[in-house]
Amino acid sequence: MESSNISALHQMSDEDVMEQLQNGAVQGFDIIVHRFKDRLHNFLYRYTHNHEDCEDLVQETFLRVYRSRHSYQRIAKLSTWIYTIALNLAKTMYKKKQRMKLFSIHADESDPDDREFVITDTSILQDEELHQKNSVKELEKALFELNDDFREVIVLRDIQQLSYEEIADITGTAMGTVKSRINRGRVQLQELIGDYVKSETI
Amino acid sequence: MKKDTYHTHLNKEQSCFSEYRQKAHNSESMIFNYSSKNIAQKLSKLPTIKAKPNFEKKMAALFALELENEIHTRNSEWLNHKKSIKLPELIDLQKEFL
Repeated sequence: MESSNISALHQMSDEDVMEQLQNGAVQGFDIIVHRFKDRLHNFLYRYTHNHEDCEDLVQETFLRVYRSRHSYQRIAKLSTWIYTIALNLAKTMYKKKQRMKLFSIHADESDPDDREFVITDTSILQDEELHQKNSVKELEKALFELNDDFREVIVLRDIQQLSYEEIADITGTAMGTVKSRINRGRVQLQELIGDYVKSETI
Repeated sequence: MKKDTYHTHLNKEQSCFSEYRQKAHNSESMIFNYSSKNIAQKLSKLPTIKAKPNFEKKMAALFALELENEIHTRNSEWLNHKKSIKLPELIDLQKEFL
């Protein structure tokens, strides 16, 4: 592809780039990766709470976007379609993980010599900074403890800042259900974190 | 007269109670809405998790492999339809040269 055409690709909307990719302009793929990689990382990390899983899922999402490129139609925004693929992949991965049995490799309690190591955090933080760091951790932990259905809509709405219509399309649920889940999810989150997170620390 | 006073008093009490119930409901809704908005604000301020710096390079390599697989699959399918085309046999290097 000529360089003038490549620079033209960079100016196009997401949907136009996708159309070019469907027509064989493979450079469109790099543009889509560049535009969506951070959004997808943020979304999938907040959903899975695991960096390795997140990276694997983001890579797989982009490959699926390419493989299924001809099934994309302009009825929905490209971002909506990509988020849908990402969410479905995340759910599939987590269903598989739940079926796997996990064995602990922690210290054997019957053996008095076998102990877990406690690694001391030697970085000294001011009280307020420490509180803020812990508050973020608490919120992240609470987010991961939410029910899957609540977590996905909360992440899409409050972190990814998508509209209710987009969330309804991505999750395949009615808008009323989306709004209800968001409200219930927020209440549950508030209960989980309790008073730990002060409103002025985040 | 007394009955009228009683009824007036009762109505006044009921009206006060309804007003109180409405205020309590409004106040609960406000607390609910405040909590809901509060948690939404906290979530929007969580740090953004971005892709690692070498992610695009990694993705480009994966994509190159994907394209190669695609070409290979397409070629195989094409050859399967063209039975008259026969590819030369692979040379057994050990047999030929050793």
